[in-house]
Amino acid sequence: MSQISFSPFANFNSAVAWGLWVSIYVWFVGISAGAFLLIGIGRLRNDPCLKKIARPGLALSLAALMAGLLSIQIDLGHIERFYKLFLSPNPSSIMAWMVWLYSIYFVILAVMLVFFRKEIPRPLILFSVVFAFAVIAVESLLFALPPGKAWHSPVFPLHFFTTSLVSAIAALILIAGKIYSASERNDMLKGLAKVAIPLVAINIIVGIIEMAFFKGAGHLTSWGVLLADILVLALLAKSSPSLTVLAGLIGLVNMLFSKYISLISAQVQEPFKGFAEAYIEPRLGYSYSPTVFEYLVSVALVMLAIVLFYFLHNVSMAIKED
Amino acid sequence: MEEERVQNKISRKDFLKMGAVAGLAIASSSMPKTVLAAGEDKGDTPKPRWKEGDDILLRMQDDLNRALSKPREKRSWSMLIDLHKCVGCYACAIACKSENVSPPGVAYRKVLDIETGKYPNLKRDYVPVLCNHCENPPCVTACPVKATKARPDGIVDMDYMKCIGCRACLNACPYGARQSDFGKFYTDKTPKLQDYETRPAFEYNKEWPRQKGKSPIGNARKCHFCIHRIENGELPACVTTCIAKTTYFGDIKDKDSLVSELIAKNKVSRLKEALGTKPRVYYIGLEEVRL
Repeated sequence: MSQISFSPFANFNSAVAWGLWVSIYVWFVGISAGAFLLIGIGRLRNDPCLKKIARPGLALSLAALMAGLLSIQIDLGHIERFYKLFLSPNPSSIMAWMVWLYSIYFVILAVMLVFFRKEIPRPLILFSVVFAFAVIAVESLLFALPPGKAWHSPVFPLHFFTTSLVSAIAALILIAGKIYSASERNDMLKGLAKVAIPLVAINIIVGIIEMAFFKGAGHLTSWGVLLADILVLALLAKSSPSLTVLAGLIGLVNMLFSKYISLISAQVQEPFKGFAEAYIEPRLGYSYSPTVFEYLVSVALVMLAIVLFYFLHNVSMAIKED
Repeated sequence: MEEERVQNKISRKDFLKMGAVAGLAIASSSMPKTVLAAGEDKGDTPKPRWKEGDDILLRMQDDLNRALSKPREKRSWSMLIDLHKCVGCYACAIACKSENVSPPGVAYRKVLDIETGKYPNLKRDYVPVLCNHCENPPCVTACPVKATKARPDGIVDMDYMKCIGCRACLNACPYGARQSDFGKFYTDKTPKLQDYETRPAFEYNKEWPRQKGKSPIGNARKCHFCIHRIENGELPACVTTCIAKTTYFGDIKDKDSLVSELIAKNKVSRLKEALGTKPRVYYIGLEEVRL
């Protein structure tokens, strides 16, 4: 089959091999696994807010996963060979493991959304929590494991984990602000803000540690992201429903920036002094700015995720009513 | 006299026999060299040609022939680059481009131009860099579909028809030795793509005409020590074109090879050794360069 690829319309290159689409993918998977993890922990800890938002949360997890997988497929140089990931996987490759984990994860989410209308059995919840943790861990190891890049650090997987949880709770706050009636909304937002505050605080601490680690080697976390995190924390502390929703929106967008910056800043570092100038040609430079096409596709993916969420949420609600 | 003439005469049968033999000899000499299959050896090692004082390329050629007479798993290709000799002419980089018909954005061999010190105490070093064909290659571990592998002779190769273009290997390589082929042509946006860009490359002993929508476009690409040349008894393009005889190539398992001899005699080092990748590309004088 002839090559199918959108990469000629994108601006990533051989140095910055993973650009905006991979950042979007990582962000979506973080939202998906993070939301799933929070729902599971909420159920285990009998948190009323997290328990109540479990079904919309499941729809969010599935919608974000689907949008994330689509964004990574778009990024491939040979989309038509995607099936090879299933037919001839390399067991030593983290990416191959990821594909298998995502497949199982997809099935778990779909089964939970369709078959468990009221209470999800506790053993399944426990299994899901471990699984969601594994999804985030494996995802972060894709970056952290190979030597040579700034991602190759013990802090990176931890920061990956905290950013995923923050993006997930931010998305859940936005959902709570949108789907619940006025009477339920305030309590839900208040409860979710209580969950979000420690998560954002931990994320700030881990971000500072990461910045200290990579001083001079390119910032994986920028000051802007940290300041936005602090703003989110301040807004959440106000305990106002509208400010909590605003914090959710800022937090969600900020985590996309965070993922984008950490991805790109590690790739623009040359392996050796003078490497970027050793051969000057298009697509060999150690810099990156997305094309209009990349932005448009990214916006379309976010829109798709929103549509998918509403669709899946309505479907799951319809099943409940039956 | 008549008797003599009769003796000198050749019968028609003998003439035809001789003609057939001569024809076969001509035909065999003009036949293209066949590509060796995995692990196959030529059996008959050509006689060594190099004598003390001859060009070292002849010695490396002898080394290559000797290595090719062994089974693939019994040889280990290595490269040695003497930085004291490199003049920074970029001939190796250009030869590599030409040999592998590599498009814009793909350069298997680069030459770092490093200036150190302050005026008037300046120093300029040239460091050719390429795929290190590591013993522990992170790119092989990263590839999700087994499109890249380490061969028994040490060469890390690519299967263009398996590669899905995920670029995980590009980010896994700590040497920046891999590039993605984004399908660019030097003569894009001109009336006609020029033949020198669309002519086939012979990487991995196969023909790869550069056509839009077909591999290697969309794939990861890298140096392969010119497998297609070495398995046909020729040294890599960067070795034969080096004007300063900076680059040495051969079988490191063969103690009599020039590469083995120079590695044993000189203080050699490898790039980013602390990472534990165990590169097969060695350098003389690397410790004097601030990378």
